[in-house]
Amino acid sequence: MSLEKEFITIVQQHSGIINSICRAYYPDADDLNDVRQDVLLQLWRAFPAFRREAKLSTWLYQVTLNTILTRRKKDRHQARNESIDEHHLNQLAAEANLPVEDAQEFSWLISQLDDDQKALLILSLEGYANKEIANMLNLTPTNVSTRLNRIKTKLKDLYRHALR
Amino acid sequence: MHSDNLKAGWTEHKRQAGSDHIPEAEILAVIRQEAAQQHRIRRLLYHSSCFMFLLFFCQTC
Repeated sequence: MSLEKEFITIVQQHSGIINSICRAYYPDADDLNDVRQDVLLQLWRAFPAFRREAKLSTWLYQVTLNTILTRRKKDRHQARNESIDEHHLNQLAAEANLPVEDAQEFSWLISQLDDDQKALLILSLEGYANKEIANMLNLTPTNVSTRLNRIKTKLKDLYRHALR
Repeated sequence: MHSDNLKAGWTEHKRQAGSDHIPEAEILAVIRQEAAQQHRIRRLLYHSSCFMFLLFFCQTC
């Protein structure tokens, strides 16, 4: 099987990982296509160097998250403006006591976190150990543990506030 | 929100995102775009090398 064909098969088989991370950071459909192309390009560039002994899904999470985090750093200003609007809209939804499904609730909660916190939470929910997360995001395991505790506290506060 | 709920939310979010298929044409377009860029870089390097060689050659003659 040629490298191209193998790459296409892998991407299509794991489209859930790529799409879910892209969506967590870019919920709008227009942005989603742009960022997905960026991610696919980085995955393709990194593919020849991918060592088969590493888990494929781990490699996909690592490249996808790092590509998005780099892109977000570039358009930080724009992202800040968007998150203010989003925050405002979500607060209105919470105040109106709108019923929320699990996925919507998750989208709301994750939209309240900053880019690094989102990455940590996603990897933690995927069941990665602190050491693995640290390797993937170039952090120390202690730092990961501290940050995850802060995220949990923040989410609890947010949830309590939304239920009021 | 309990972490179980959070996990359920993430699973549902992934399930919804997973239903979005990435078309082969989109992946191929990215691959071709990268190949074209690599080709442009190689051509630029080749022309720069030729120019440097000619410059050096002319100076020594």
